[in-house]
Amino acid sequence: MTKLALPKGRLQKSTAALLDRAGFGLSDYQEDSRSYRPGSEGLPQLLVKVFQERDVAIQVAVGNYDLGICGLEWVQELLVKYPSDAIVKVRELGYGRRNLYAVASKFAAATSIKELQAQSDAVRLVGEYPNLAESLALRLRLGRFKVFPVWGAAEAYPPESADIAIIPETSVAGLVNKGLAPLTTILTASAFLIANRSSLEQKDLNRILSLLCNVDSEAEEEPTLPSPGMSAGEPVYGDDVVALALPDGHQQPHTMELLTKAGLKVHGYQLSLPTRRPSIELGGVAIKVIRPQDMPLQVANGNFDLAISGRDWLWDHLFRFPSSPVTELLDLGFGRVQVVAVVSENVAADSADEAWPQSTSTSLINMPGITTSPLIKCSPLGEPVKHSCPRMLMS
Amino acid sequence: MKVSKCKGTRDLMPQDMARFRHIEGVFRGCCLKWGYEEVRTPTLEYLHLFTSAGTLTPSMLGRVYSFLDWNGWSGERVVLRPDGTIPAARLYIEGLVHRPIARLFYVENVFAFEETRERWQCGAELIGSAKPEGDAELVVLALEILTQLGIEPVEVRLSHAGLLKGLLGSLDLSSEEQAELMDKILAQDAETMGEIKHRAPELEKPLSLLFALKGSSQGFVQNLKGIFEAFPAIMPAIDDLARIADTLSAMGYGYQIDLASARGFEYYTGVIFQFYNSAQKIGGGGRYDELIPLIGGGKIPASGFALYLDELMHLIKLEVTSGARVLIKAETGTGDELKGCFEVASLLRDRGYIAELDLGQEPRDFRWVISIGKKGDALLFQLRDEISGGKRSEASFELILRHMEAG
Repeated sequence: MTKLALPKGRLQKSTAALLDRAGFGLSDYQEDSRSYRPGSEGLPQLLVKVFQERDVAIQVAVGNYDLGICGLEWVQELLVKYPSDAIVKVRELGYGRRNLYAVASKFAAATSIKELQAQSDAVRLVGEYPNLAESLALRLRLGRFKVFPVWGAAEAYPPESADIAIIPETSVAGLVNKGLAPLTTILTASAFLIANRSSLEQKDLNRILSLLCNVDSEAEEEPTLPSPGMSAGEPVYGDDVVALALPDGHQQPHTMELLTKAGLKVHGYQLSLPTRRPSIELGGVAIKVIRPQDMPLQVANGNFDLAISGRDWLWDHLFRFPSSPVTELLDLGFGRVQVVAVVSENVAADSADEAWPQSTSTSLINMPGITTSPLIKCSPLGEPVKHSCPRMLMS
Repeated sequence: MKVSKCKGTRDLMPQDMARFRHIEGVFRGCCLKWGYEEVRTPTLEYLHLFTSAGTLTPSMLGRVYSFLDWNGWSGERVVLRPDGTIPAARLYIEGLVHRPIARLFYVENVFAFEETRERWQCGAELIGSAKPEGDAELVVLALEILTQLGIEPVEVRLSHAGLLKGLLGSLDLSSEEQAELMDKILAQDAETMGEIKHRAPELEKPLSLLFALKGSSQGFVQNLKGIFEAFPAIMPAIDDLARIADTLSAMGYGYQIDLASARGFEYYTGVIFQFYNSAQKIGGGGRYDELIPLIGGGKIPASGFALYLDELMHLIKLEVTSGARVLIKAETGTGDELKGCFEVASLLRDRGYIAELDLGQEPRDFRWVISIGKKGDALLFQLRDEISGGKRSEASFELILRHMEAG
């Protein structure tokens, strides 16, 4: 069995096309597909799973998957912090090319590396690549720095909440369009076929490797126009302004509805999201749109006074940082989800107590907000299925 | 589940700890007699302590154990200290800066993501003196410690950070470029020399000489002045070297001037000294006059050294000569007998013996075995010599003690 980790998101369309040309005949690996386990009738010995791109490199490095496809920047993000020879970069696939830039806001006081190196306060770096950000800070010999990892929308943070953002972009023009000033290019990355070294040395991956290494990579046209993207916008914050963070993603429609019901008119906060800084017809309030996952950390650091986020992200933050000054203010009553612990169907257990040691399940159950309900088992080849045993959930 | 220690770490077994404590004892004893005072810094320090000064190279900083503390939501990272000198400098700034001269020493572990994750150091810092005699004091102190530990031969290698910095200073480099070049040299990057030669052909000859020349006399230091006459920026460094070479020669200590050995920590500004046993480096140090100013402590010069405990533990020849071991047994285990056992053990310990109560140990591991029983209402003491096999029974412990002391 050869295990292949594939990316979802920006590389999915080109990867699906590549695999098609290679004759994989994958079912259910299209941009709009929600399946995480596409199958291949022609390659029964192939097990495919779809991951967030950032997780592909990790899955291959630890040996859960023999092969993977992801952007080189995620491989470097892993290796720069955890040098290892576990990952072999097998082949550049010729698509998904973009640069990783360190940028400042063009409205910032410091818009050059030299100015940032001379800054007496800690230099704040923000981005989806915290390891590369830390490596950059060390390379630039910044005297004092702080790295704030985010799930996305890094361009929204400078200048008020960050001095440097790490931004993937196809060209400098794309950065300028967003109101950002490029400081340096960290790396240029494109989609790569990677392999676990041990798998490569010990397993017969020839059939799959042969298909992937011999398929023609379609040379991408260099983008002549900067990628479309929302403007980071001009900062309007002041000490007397209430800073409010609104969510993008699946919480956005609910939040838009809530604001409308409350009679608050917000311009630029729509699904097409033309700007990260919508304006509100309410004096003394400034808005930024960021990922709800990132809000607790940002509120803790005083970058926002108020934020609309999920309780799951708040609790995740508070469990990690018990002394954080963030607190829940109001249950808005929408976007309810259940966070569920699941086990593989192959686990020989019919209850939570059997699935892990009693001390563990007891300590989990005793945590506030956690209740048990039937154990949920997840088939290795399918979607989670419910069993009539106790399960753990956080609501 | 199989349990094991973390990769890159090691346990110190009883015999290791005996060596560790012996080295620590010799080091502490010497330092205290020279007027140094012991300090201990926390294992955790803020990362910015090590980045703020530009003291460690990026490649070294990339290997530190850094993580977010419990209040890490602020983005402030902490590290397991990767070095002993920088925390000692911080300690001085925070608590001892009123002293014009501070002589400090410590025995501490340092951490880095390397094959050996945790290393132990015996460090001494002389803070507040810019005099070359201070550097000489540190070298002689280190040599005294190594001599008392029975380490021989010890080779002292001398260099000077100002030589390399002075030569690179003649290049038209920005501070970032110079720092990057220094990083590569200090990280012992093999291609760097070729790169420098390519960028500045006029430096090819002096740099080659700098890395090739070795000498062990005051005359050699004078020769350096002639060789590098065209680079006046490095003359103060050569003068520094000459002074410490003079002092060591006058005191009868040998040394080798190895200009290529100026590798390691970026914070060194002056004389760098390293101690070798055969080809193995067992310690090193130097002058770091810019470190305390860079981390906000004012213009205070300093120098120091560290001896590498892990390496020394392999080199010392130590025979464990602790007091004779005595096993104390209760014949039947009654309360009176046990009370007698505890009292006898206490008396023996007062006299320097190692006394253990019997919990099933092998008698052959002991020099003496004392059994305590009862005869009527009184205790009866029986002594067995585990070497000769001889036995004595007495009603008085004082008599038993006399037999033991008579051998």
